[in-house]
Amino acid sequence: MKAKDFGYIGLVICAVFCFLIAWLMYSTPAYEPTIIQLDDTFPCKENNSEWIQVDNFTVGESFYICSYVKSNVPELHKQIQIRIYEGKRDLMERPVYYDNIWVSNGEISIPLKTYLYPGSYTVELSSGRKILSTLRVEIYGE
Amino acid sequence: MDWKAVFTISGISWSIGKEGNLYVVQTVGTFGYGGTLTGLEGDVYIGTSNVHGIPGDVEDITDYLEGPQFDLSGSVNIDADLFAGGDKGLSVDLDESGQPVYNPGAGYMYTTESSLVFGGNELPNAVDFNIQIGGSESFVMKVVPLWWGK
Repeated sequence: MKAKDFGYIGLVICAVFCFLIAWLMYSTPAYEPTIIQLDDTFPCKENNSEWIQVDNFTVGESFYICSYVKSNVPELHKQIQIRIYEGKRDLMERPVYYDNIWVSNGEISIPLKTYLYPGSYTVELSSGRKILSTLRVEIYGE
Repeated sequence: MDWKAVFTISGISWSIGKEGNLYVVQTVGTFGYGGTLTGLEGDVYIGTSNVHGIPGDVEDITDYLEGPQFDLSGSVNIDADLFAGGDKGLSVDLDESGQPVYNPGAGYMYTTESSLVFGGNELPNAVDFNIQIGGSESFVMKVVPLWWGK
């Protein structure tokens, strides 16, 4: 086989690849992003079967993040991420807690399954690189 | 040496996720150029990129592919009016607050790129070299389920 033949084979492969890409672009509808909105987001805990807002917690106390999920998808079933940073989030700071949770439209209460030492923390809810909500929580010693 | 101000770049990339989707992503941005004097120049890049740091337990990665990034790249080209060369690039993916994204278990999000560069410029130098620093933003245009996807 001559070098010229390899050139022809390369051209055919490129043409087939370009045709496939063009066909995919033409035949696939434009991507419609799922837009999630978190309304009325606050730290909370359960009290007599009701969720109440609490901004300060004691060490070891279990707490949750309460919110109301709205989206442009009627039957939403999507993962969002929750991260907790010590103090105010600084550049290159790594979270002390991370979880990936499924949410649907409507009220949600997300349990934070971690032990936090006394101090102030930033809780961030996001979907990928989109930040949905940020709030502050104080943890006090007993 | 030549230092140029800001240019607008636009590119389309096709990314295949391990969940079996092909993502068509458009990226637009600006960058500063430092390198050999070239005059007016136009480039086309063709290459591959690899996105690092996406958590393995996330089923829909579109919100990880979209967003701003900080870009750094360098290229060396053989230049005789029309030129061809190689380019290596690194992009640090940022969240909406402009901070690097760290995902425990997966690390910081960043993208590495290797490209062939073709183009033309006003001043042939035999060999061109340059670095480019800038910022860009990516948008998912299409998500195409492939045959092995869910």
